[in-house]
Amino acid sequence: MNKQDKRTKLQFLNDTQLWRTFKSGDQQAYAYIYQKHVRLLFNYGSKLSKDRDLVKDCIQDLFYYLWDRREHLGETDHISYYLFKSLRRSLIGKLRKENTPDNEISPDYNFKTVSSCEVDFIKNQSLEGNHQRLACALSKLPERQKEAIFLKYYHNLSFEEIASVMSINKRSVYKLIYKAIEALQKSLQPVLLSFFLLVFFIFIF
Amino acid sequence: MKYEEYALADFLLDDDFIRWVKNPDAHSNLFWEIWIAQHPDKKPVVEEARFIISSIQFEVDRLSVREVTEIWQNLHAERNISLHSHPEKRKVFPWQKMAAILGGLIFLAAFYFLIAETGITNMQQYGTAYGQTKTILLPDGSEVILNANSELKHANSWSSDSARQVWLQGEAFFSVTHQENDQKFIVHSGNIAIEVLGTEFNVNHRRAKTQVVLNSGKVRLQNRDKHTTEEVIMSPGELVEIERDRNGHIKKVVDTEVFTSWKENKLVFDGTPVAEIAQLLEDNYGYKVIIQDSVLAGRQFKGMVPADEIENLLGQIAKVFNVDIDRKDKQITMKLKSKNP
Repeated sequence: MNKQDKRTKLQFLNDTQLWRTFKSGDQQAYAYIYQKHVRLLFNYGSKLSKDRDLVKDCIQDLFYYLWDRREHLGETDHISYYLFKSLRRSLIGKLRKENTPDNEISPDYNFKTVSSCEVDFIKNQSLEGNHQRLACALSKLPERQKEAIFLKYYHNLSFEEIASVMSINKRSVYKLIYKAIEALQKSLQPVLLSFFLLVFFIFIF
Repeated sequence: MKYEEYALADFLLDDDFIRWVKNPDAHSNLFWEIWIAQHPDKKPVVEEARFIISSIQFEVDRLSVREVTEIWQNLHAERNISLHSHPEKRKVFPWQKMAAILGGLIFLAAFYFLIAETGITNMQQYGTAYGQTKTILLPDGSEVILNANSELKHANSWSSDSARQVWLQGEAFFSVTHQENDQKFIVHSGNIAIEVLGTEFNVNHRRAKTQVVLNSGKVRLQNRDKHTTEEVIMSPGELVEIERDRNGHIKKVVDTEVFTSWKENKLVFDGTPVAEIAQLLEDNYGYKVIIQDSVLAGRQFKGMVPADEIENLLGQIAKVFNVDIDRKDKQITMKLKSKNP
């Protein structure tokens, strides 16, 4: 099989097969994995650190390590999850200062949301007003909730995978995501919410 | 089935549902269309869940083509692995090259014909709705950011024998990887073919007008219209505009930021006629815009807003030009304020 045909065939492999092909020493599979994931990794890494060069270094180290240690790596059916987990670990490791235990380090979070909270929402009941309300609520979420939301809705990681990437237990992931979507849902119902509050207060008195 | 008992939060946490909202395909589209038709009472909840999921957006942090290549090169400074493995270079006789090019052209022509005529199913197709942008990774590692109300198509699998090709309706920003065998990359927009090796550029093809803005690298435009082929070579910082019903082309040097800031979800206007802003609102957001005073249509606007803050934009225009802007659903009417009290 010549090299051109092989490159085309790589596109049709699922993650498990692609990973195995790379692990067996296939350089084209390795290059293909790089091309497919390097931008995703940079996008994620940049949410965990403002330092662009640091993120690039970590990505470089990661891929160096992957090729070097390919025979000793585990299997995976979800390459982006595997790479995200490794990248996060590597970034945290680099951010650590001496004498700080591992479980106390948190990333140097750098989530930027697309819109601002400055526009006057109240009169704007349109679809666009809802977009803005939601974007505003998103920007106000705690950073760890943003990370969990990012992994769930951008990269469709499962609860187990998110727990593994963020080094927390599954229950914590549930809590983070529930709280986040609750806040987002709420942002779409300001009128309803104030109505309920009004009724509630009338009720007490 | 479980979905009947789902509340909003359940949809928001369902992996299959999320996958459908973010990466719809023919199969899932069909499934959900049928399911919603069978359970119309669930439609509001489904729509709200879709809305929330698709509204979760964070700013994208991007690597340039150069940086992607740089990291790779650093990795292999001491090794033999190449990102784009190629067979050893051999001496090729000129006539072999000619035959290959001719064969390639015939192949391209046949391929293009096949696409146009039969709607071949081996094509990968991406589309965006009004007000939506999408980032796409192509088989060769190139990245495309598709702007609102646009469509991109390409063959499912690419080989290194023939040029890499995509077909674009609407607007997109391309970051094309340079292949070691100098394999060409061609964007087809109407009758225009935009050919590059590896570079970053913006293509806007709407209303029978194609506009290309070049950030870096080199681009060759071919206009295959009216049985002639007009060729234009572009350098970074240049804009070229070709209109279907007009001969020739316009070329000028521009601030590329103005034309590519949409991919950072910002709209930048630097002396843009209001009529053109109206077209953008129609093409990208699905509004119908009526400008009642022709004088207003020609006025030039300078300003910047986030891409999802149209109210903000209309507010600025109203203030700067002393205009009444009336908005009813998807219709916008602009009228100069009358001087009479």
